[in-house]
Amino acid sequence: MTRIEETGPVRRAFARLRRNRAAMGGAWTLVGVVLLCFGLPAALGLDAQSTDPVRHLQPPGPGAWLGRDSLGRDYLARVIVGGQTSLLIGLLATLASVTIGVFYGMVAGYYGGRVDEAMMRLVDFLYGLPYMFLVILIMLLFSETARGEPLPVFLALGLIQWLTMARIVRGETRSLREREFVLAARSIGASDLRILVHHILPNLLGVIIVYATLTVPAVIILESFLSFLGLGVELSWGQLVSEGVDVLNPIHSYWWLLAAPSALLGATLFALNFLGDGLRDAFDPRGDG
Amino acid sequence: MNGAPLLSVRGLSVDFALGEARLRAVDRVSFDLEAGRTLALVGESGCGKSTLARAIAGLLPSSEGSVQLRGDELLGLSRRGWRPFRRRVQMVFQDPDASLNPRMNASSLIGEPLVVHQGLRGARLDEAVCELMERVGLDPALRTRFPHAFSGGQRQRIGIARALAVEPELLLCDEVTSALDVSIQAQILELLRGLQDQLGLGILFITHDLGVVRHLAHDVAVMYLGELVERAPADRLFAEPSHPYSRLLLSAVPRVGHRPAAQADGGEVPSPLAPPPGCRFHPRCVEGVERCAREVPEEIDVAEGIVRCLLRG
Amino acid sequence: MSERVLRVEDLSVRIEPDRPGGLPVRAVDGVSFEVGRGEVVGLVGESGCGKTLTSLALLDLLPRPRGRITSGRIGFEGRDLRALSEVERRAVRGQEMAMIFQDPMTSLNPYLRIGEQLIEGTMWHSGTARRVALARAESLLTRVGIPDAADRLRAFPHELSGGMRQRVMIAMALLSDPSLLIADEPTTALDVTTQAQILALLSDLRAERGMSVLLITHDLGVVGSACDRVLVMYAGRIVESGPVDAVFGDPAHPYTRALLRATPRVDGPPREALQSLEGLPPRLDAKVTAGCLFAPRCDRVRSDCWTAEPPLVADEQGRARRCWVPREEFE
Repeated sequence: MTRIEETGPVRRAFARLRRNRAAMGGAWTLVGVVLLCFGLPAALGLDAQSTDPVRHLQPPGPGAWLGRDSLGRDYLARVIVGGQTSLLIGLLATLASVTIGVFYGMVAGYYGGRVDEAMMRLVDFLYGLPYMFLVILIMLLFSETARGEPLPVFLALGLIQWLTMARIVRGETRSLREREFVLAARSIGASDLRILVHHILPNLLGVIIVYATLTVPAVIILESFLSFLGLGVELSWGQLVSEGVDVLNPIHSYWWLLAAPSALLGATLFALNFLGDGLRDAFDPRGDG
Repeated sequence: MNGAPLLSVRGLSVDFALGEARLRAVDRVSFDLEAGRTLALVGESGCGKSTLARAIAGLLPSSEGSVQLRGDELLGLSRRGWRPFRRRVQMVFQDPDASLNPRMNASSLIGEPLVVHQGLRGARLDEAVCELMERVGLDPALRTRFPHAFSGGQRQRIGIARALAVEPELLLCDEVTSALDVSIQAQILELLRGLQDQLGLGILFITHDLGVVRHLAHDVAVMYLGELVERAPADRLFAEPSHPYSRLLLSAVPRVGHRPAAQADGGEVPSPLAPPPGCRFHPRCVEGVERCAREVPEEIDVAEGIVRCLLRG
Repeated sequence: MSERVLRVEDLSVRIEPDRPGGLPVRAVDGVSFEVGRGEVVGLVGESGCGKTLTSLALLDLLPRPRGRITSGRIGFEGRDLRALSEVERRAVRGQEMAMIFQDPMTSLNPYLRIGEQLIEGTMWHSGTARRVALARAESLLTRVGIPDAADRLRAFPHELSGGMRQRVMIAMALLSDPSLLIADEPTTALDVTTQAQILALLSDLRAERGMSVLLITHDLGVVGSACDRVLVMYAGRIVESGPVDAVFGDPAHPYTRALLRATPRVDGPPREALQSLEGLPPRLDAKVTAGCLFAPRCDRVRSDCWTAEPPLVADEQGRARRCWVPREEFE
């Protein structure tokens, strides 16, 4: 018999999630994509770099299942390795933004008053700036050789995304702060630090998980957009889409150059969004207990 | 240990700022509470009893007055100043759903005060938690469960066990049985009574239910719109209530075969934001005279208590 | 000889589980009772005993789709409500049978003025002209004790106090001059002085209009002071019924007795110990167990009690009890 009494709200939420078909579909799709991008290269020894000008723009067939690009590189390999980059950037940038955003939001929300006002003013100000402007600024801070590397891009993206997380966490913290169990903890004599770590943070988990899951696709899209503009990483899905668009012309359709990265990108984004929605429903307090 | 009473409250007032207006939720309340005795604080909505309890527990800032625990002043203490007193003064809240962190299991909840104040951990902590659970009538085997798995009465027991963890001298109970069924309420009340006998606890028991007061309290303080209007030993209050509001309250309690008296003016408690001038109770008072609308009554000492009424003493 | 307004026979309500693998709950099981004209009947019990669901079943307001009436007959003013069509039932509901709830704040629409909400029902049911409906509403508000009724019609619910809102609910219920008013915990959320006023109001209205009241509550004091007869429910069944003074003065069922002993009384001896009832009510989604459902907590339990459930047996004084222990042995 499932010991439901001994499961905390987080575990029960995941149990609810399991019953949501769309979300589980998204989850499995993600697993598939990750396995594809990280498991396959090792297994098949794919080579994304070596060029073969003779066979450039070869359509899909044996030997090159997704054809070759304008420099003759194996497109399947490129799409998969590009996927690694896109996913990694998505994950790392999200982690960075979650860390900063949660910390910032908790402090602002818990202490309130002038501290909160000042902190959120900064957030409002940053929100108001056009993000492309910021990104370009950040990119310019790195030297020529560093551009095209994942690090600057991921920093730029992470530094922007934390704003939303901070706002959400601040709002939740403010409302949690007034809950009676926090008052009870204060009456026991718990310090602020203890209250933040043991009482507030665990109750934020739901919100954090949901919005982190929804941040990942946002970051991936941003990166793709940057790549499209030529500011992104050397090899990612966004970059590949950009290349695919470049070679479009009315005479020869090199459809595989656009279709493959777009399909994978789209599938990943859909999967993440379904999963994020499912998580949000699963953590909804109305469905709790 | 000096001869001072366990809890001594003098002229305690609590104000809230609401935009431009200031709301005086508690107005110059004074009383004493001895160890081993229960003082019931009764009143209807807006009377300030919960606010008073939170102010005494240091959870709200008070504007003026004095709150002394065995002679040590509590009012105006900083957060750090309060720490040693958190062991001696504990509070149990009304809504067990809201006052227990849903993410913590029973063991963590009950053990938290022990972790914070005594730094207990591991086996010693677990042992202490089990012992506390038994003391309040909960099966220690359930300590890994989360609040949602317990009934309302059990959750309230968890709250009480947590409050007892540090062996307080003073227990503040804020409507702790109001949300419970009558048979569960009886269990909790008898549990509190037993604990008081065993541990010599002083209990400040806040409630709107006069029946509960009759069963539990040694002394009673009646509040109306932030003021203490009567304080008396329980026996005397029920036999011969002095203040007209106390009489109204008692006559309004429904009992078998006795139709509760309804006030002719259909009065209700006015908003605390706009209390009537003079004596706050005068618009609803059957005995009121013209003076009552102009003069503010002060506390009059009567045997073992006080009354705040122009027409007494 | 009082005429019968309501006659419920063998009513059962089932709630389907909210997730696969859960069991359905027999929330109300074979409940039968009557309400006479002008009578105030109290339906009392602790949480989960099925009293609220019983009242919702009468008005066809069970939560859909999970709640269903699985058996029984609801005879109201001579008609079987379950045999009526949806449309006919809706006509009865709100016209001849009205209900007021515990928390007026959630039963009143916070976005509409009081006047609008009051006349909505009348105009819909009987097509009365707006001006006439408003005039009636105003006079009813005055009748239920709301001062400045004309102004109040234009007020929003949040501008009124809890007691005032409850009076508005009563006025809404009275508009169609119902023969039966079902009140579910009408005073639980109110101060005791306000409660006294509301109970007095209900009593006056009963006398004026010959209206019957089914008063649902967990508060024995309220039942004892406001009701003529009482029905005690436990685990979805009626375990005892009869005239209130008789039942409370001389209870004939162990549960009734336990409830009375656990209820704090203002007129009892000072600081007397309350006798609590250990344990919890049974889960109604468990498989059907043989025997009396109260047996695990009963202080008079004997061997018969575990094998078969006792039937509800009536006597000549208008009392009924569901217990194997003979009446004479009940001290």
